[in-house]
Amino acid sequence: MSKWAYFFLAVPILVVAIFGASLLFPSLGWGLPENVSTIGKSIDFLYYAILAITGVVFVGTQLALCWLLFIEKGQASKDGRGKYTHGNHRAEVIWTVVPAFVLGIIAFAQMPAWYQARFNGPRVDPIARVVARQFEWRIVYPGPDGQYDTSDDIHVPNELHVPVNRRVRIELRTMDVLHSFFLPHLRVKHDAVPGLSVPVWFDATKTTREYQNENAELSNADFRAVDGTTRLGRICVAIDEAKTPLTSFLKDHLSAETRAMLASYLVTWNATLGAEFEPAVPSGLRSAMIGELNGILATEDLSDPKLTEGINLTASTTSHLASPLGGRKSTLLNREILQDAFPGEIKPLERHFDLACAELCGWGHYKMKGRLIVHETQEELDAWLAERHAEQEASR
Amino acid sequence: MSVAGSIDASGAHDDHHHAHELSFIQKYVFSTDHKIIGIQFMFSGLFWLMIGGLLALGVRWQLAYPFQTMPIVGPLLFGTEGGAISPEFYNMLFTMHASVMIFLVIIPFMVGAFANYLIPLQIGADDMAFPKLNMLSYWFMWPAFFCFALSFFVEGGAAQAGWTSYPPLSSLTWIDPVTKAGSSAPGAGPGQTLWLLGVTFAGVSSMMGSVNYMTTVINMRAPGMTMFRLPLSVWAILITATLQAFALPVLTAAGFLLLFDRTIGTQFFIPENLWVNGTLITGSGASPLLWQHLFWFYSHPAVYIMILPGMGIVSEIIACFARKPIFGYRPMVYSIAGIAGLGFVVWGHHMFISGMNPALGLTFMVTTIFIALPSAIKVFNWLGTLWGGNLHVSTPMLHAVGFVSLFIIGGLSGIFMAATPVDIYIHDTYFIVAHFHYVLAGGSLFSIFAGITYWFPKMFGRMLNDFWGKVHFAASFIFMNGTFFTMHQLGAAGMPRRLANPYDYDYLAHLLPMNQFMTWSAIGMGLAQFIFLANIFYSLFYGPKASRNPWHANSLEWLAPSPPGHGNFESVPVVYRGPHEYSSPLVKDIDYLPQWVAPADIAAFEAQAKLDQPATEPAPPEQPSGNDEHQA
Repeated sequence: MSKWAYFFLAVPILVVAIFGASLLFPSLGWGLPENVSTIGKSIDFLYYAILAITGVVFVGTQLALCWLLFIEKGQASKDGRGKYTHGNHRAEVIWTVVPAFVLGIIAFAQMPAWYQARFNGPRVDPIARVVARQFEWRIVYPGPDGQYDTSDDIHVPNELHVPVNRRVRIELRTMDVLHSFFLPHLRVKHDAVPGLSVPVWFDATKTTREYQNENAELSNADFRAVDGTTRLGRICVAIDEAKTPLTSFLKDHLSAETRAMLASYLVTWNATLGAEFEPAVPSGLRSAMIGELNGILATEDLSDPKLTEGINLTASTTSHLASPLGGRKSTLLNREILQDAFPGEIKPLERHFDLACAELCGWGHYKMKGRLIVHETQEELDAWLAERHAEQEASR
Repeated sequence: MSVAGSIDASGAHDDHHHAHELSFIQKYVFSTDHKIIGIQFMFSGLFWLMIGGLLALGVRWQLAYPFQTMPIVGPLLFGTEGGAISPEFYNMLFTMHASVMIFLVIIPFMVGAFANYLIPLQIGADDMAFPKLNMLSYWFMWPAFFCFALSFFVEGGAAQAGWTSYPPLSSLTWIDPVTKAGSSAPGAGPGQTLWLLGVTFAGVSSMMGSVNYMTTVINMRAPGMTMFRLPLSVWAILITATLQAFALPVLTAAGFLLLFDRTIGTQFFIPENLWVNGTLITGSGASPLLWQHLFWFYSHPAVYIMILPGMGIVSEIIACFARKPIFGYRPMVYSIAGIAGLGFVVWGHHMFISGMNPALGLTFMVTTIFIALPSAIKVFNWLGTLWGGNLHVSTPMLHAVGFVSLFIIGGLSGIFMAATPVDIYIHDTYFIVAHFHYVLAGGSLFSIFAGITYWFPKMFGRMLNDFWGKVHFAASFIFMNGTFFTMHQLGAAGMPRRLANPYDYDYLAHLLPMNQFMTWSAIGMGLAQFIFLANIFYSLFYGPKASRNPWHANSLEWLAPSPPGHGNFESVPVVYRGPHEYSSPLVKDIDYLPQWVAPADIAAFEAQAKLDQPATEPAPPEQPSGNDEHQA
């Protein structure tokens, strides 16, 4: 059986490697996403604590299993027989009492977090009513009169706006079937149950703007969000799928205008980002692009006005292009340059705190995508609500 | 001697298996023989296992290549829509995958196939207490098969509300059956009704089985077979049957309530004033949470119904191939009972975020956390059994050790969900999908493989091919982990279950490559099962003949011929000791001492067994094995 011990040994090794990678390299996105709430901190702490405890038990039992398989013939069995024993009372007591003790600790240690999450709600009026239905989130603010179900209620589909650093309460309802209100970055989840109005509370400790700025630095994620929807992204994907050298692809498939745009895009990124260029491009394309970038730059005369035809370079863009920027902080700025250069192509960065439905609600379950917008101040939120209210009144 | 001689078989008993010839139909189709019924459950289970596996591959395809043309199936079913599956079809795939695997594969395998085959043989009885009831319990599966199969072809397709069938999604069709106005989903039509009927029939079948198993184990044990001399597989089945008998009526009742809601206009689960598809439904003010309580009151114990028999099977196999008595027999029995007992008071952990009173959540959290304790005790005892063992590598043993390895993962990941605050985040994400697949695919399925490969010689009198058995094990084990382990990572990243296209969400978009890897592993796991099936069907006809006791095991089924005739034993066996007397000091030259050997006959048995020795390999069939000697 000793050969098979190595086979079973692969389990703890791979498991530790996978969990290790997800903890050591958060950019892989294999672990918990960034947390932006107070209750999330306690939840994450418990998660990691349980991961540590179960991890030790897991590695211990798996190694014990492999070791027992590896030694194959028990020491007591030189004669090719098993050790004749029906058990050991002391061992049974130990491996009953010790796990019971540890489990007891786990059980009691989590009670405060549960209390915070489900009992100790803020004594405030609900900031909004979140009404789920197939397949959208209808979010209703009470409007200037502070009352729900009046004509001045403010309706916002799929966007919940809250101020930062304040414990807010929402009233969770559903019009039809079960749904589940899930804010992954805030570690908030609760089912919306027909016939019930469920109070859910949370605080967001980071504004949407902060979150977007920080994530803009993660150029990978940044571009992933953009690639699928922009023309440039489609071009990149097309080149990737064509599996042909970039230069010939460009000549065969792209119009002069697009080539120019792409060339300019590449130049911009190459000039301003230097080492950061690499992660900004979809995987698979990276090496090909980098390898051939120099070739393009050599063959295409970028000063040829024909190449930049159709592209509106503003004065500020031109000056940005002229003065290379350095450092990781530049990513957001570069995005602004690109946006400036290709107004229809690059959309403003739209990373948001997602709002997902986590309870099966019908065929469109996967489409119940909403977002949480965290404003910097209550005033900012009020202003936004007032604007929204004015729009609503005007359209009446 | 006379083990059996002392209590000679009665005339009536002899008549039982010699007096009349049975027609083919009586013998193999409407059979009252527990062994045939067990084998019937086994083969229909294998058939539905393939169906359930195909449904799972459909789910995996969508998660790896969302809305892209599905190979082979796509053009056939959705040729006019570009061959990509639709989101409602996706919902149907995972709903029916789970329903088929749970109600038509694992439960019938555990409490249909193994319980039926093993109980009378292992307790030394000639058949079940109620053979006709036993036959009915199999044939009540067929209406269930029929309902599930038919539901794919009715208007709107099969059920799409998840295997939990939470109302109102699953209940809102009664408003207008013609126009479907008010229907909550395309699959909430006749498919959902058929699903409920199918589950009810499967439940009736299980209940008939349960009653029979309990009665048989309690009343029909051979002389000397005290409760604490029962093999652990019988103990596990007895406790499972008890669990099932007390939990199942609740599901059946709930199923009827939901059926009434759907068909005759009652409103057990429909609250007031729902707007569905633009239709106002003036409900009765009932609560959909009632269904969740009733459903999980059965379905959480059902989780243990699906794993406890597996634990019993694995215990027997590990003891046999470690050539050692099971470490801590009584603690093993008590922990099975402990899991079953606690299993009744943990259902609320499925409802931590459902709107149930959070104070109740605390109670259920504590019971749920402590259910890890008996599971841990079992794992430690399995390790204790391996310790100092003289381990023999064989296909059943590899599956059993694989079971332990995978069950450790599934057991430990359960603690995350039991912790209520952590559950807030990982509830209904892929973390739970990973957890229950480690228990059900890793645990139950591997114990089913272990059981089939272990008892196949007894069932059919032929040996399975050991080499291909090991290849099947290695491939299944690798691909199983490849498919399910990284689901923990998906869950930690917050990916909810049951999303037809999770990548629309920014925070999930990067998980696509990982899902593709898992899908290819799942395809590998599916393909590996063909090795298993080929091995079974080839060996059925061409495998080497098996002796009565090819594994040199101790429990009573190995006393009977392979395969046992109608009535099982030539004469009523008498039991002198526990089922795990491997390497007993009472025998010097062989390392097993079966339950049926009388103390006075040990020397004779040993001498005879020694003659048969190098019988590590399957012995020739007609050999006068040591066992025969005692039945003269």
